[in-house]
Amino acid sequence: MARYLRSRLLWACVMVVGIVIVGFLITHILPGDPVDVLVGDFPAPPDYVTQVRHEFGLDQPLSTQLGLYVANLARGNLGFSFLNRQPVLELILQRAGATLLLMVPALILASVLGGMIAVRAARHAGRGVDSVLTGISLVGYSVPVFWLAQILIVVFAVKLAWLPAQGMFSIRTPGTGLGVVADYAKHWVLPGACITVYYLAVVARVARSSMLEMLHQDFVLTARAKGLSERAVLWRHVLRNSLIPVITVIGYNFGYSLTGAILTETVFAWPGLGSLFITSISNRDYPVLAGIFLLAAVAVVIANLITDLLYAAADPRVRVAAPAAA
Amino acid sequence: MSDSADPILEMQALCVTYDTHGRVVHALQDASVTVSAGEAVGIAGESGSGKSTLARAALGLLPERVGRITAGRVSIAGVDVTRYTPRQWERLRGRPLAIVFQDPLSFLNPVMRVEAQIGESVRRHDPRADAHARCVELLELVKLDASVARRYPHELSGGMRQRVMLAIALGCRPRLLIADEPTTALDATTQTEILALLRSLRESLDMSLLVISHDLGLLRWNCDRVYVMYAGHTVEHGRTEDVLQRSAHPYTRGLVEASRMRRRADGRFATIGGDVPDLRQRYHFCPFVARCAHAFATCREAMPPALPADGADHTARCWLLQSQTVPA
Amino acid sequence: MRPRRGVVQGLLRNGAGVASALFIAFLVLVALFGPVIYSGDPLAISDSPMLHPGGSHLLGTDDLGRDVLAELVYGVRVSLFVGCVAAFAATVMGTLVGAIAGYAGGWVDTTIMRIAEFFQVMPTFILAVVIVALLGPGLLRVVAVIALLSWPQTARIARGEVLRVSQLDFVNGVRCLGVPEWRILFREIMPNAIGPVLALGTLIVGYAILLEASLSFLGLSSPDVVSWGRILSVGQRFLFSAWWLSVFPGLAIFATVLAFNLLGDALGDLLNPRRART
Repeated sequence: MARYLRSRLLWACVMVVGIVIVGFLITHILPGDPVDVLVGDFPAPPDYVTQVRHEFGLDQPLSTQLGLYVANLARGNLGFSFLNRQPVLELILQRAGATLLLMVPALILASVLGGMIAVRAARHAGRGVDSVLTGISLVGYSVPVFWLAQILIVVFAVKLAWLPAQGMFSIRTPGTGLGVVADYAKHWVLPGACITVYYLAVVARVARSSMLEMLHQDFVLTARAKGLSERAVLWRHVLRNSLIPVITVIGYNFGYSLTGAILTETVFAWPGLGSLFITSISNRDYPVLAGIFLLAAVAVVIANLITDLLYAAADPRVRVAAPAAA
Repeated sequence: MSDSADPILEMQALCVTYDTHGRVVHALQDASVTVSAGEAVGIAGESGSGKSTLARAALGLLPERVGRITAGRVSIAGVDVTRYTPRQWERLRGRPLAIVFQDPLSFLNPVMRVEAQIGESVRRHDPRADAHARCVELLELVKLDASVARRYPHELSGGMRQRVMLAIALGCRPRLLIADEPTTALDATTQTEILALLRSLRESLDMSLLVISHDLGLLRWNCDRVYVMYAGHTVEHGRTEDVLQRSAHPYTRGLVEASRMRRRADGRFATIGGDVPDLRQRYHFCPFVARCAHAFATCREAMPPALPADGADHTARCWLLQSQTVPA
Repeated sequence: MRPRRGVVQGLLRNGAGVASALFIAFLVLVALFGPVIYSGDPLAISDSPMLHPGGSHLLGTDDLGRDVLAELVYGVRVSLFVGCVAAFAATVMGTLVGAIAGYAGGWVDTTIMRIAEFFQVMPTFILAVVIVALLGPGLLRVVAVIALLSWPQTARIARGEVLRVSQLDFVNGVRCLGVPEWRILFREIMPNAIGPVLALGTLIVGYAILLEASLSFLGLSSPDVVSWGRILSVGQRFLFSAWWLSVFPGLAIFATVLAFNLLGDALGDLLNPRRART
């Protein structure tokens, strides 16, 4: 297992290097003056522009530029956002918190609910319950998240006025304590639901097909022959084996959930990385865009690595050979 | 073990069908098998004869919704289990009957260690025993080193896996062990070892054995009595020696000849001509009629009952026995 | 060994599969003939802005006075174009690469799959946004980004299938006949491996359509391209006053993606090699 993990870790580092290079290519190779990307379209003082040209060696050969770019990254210098008057890295890290507060509960909820739906559907495969549940997951998988957001706002925030339509906290938020948490929870419901819906569908689909496959495996017959109760067979044999592809799907799909977060935050004006991303587009604040790209890609690499770990922990067969990923 | 006069397993005129999307296959059409305490019984037949279906029906392991018992009876230790619900089966399986399957790699849970899988068996049937100690005991019984306990199935060889399957089954303390093609997936040397193991276990544990195999040699060495199956019917039954050496049914004779691999007068090997029977139809006449060299009119009209043949308790379902003509 | 005979019958048995296939056929017809019925520029102002649905404008007009129904009809072409081209490119690329990886094995396999993983790690949407933001909008760009970042999924499936099929006995049989390796790969193995790949390809269409809609929703599509997502972005601004600008285009996107996903699922069930047992 150690060997497997070591090779995955090594490869993860290589990928990060690759991501950095892609980031470099985006900022330096694409047509247009790289300065625009590094500074953004925001009016900047001319001496800053000259400083940037110097820092990133824009009048030097490409290889030196790459070197300087990497060196800057290592120092945490992702540029400066004039729009927000903050260094990019600091800005991103600040807003990342809000995004995590949106995404993490949603992912957990989606995984749990998706799993429950899948177990139900697999137990009654081919019959009414299964069709209904599969239909629900299919709908969740197909609905455009921003449209769902709009509908939810119109129904719940406007017509019924049960829940707030925007933001993470009310303007008149109580400073501390349980009140803050309640306020956050109230604001989380609608945007959280949007993200949960898609992920739930993904989990339910994979979990269901995985369970169905496992239910027909020979070792389940052995388990039944031992006289185990149906519950024991399900939990100890079927589920443990079904979990493996589910874990890998949840983990390797982490990148997609970032996309969902972006769109949801936009519609709900949730103050996280997603809305930062969007405002930066319209304001041509390129260094932030590039910074978020780098962060997202690295986050996916880390998520993949964690998934690899979990996968190896769950499936002993993997530890023997190093597969070319799930 | 209990002193019941009832046979441990009794199947009478059992019929089982598989129904997938409207396509019906009659896997068992009239099978009768009895196994009593202390016996070693064999079931011989080729693929498609229904032998595996029989084994599964004995434990209520027919595929849900697809496989059904449509006629006949199954009793375990005198109790009629034909209409048992899955719940009732859960409580019954393991103790009176345990089963060992053919291809241990797919029949063992790949993500559970050996000791966990054996342990499950022990805890289910021997709740007061020390699971770990009993597990080691069972491994010893099947002649495996205790170190195997911590391993995963994919780390073991085929022979070792088959022994683990045996240990799991034995953990249930069964009165009757059903072995479905126990050596088919193994190489010749391992086959002999496993067979010897089965024999010694039978003696030391006072356990009955029901061995299902297409390998006649295996059955000859291990079983006191043998049933021969064809197209879902039990067509011949008797003491092993009688059935194999004084075969009454033309099919059995064909099987025995073919297994000898001796060349005939014309230099060719003996085979049974014709095709395997089509199980999509119910046979109300002798299913072997299309391939039998001695078939006559009655054979095509009605299914022969079990008629006495040469030897004590030796019967075969063949009209030839009624007319007392035993062909050369 | 071509298992395609039962496919049409099987598909017909699956009610949802039939419905979605019919709907998609309808969309194709709309894409091809819609402009004939709705001749004229959908982007031209046809009436007063913000008209409620009804009368001569079945689905109302948008904030600039353009007929929503006309925009929806023209939008079909954009969605189908992006969806199908991206999925096709990703499928072809992925299948070729995956098949080679699976068949060759060894370091070729490992290298290819590592590269595939690298492409898959890139967040598609974010990269698409960044590219469009920097280079300007363009359908082909979007298609290219989707294809480039989606082929790894297809490659993985193709590789898995090739691995599975190449272990079947008949492959060795053919090999003994002296058939060259590349021929074995293309003539014998691939046709049997194609099933799950096709199913995935169909799902990618849905995904690509959603992605393009998301991009236009964010205002990143060219103004002279009629995209459903763009109407939705207008709808976002007039959420409480002009509900028809949100409901209809959203419904269109949802229905289309749903149809492709349903079809993809039906194909997946049908072409699943493990089903061959019945």
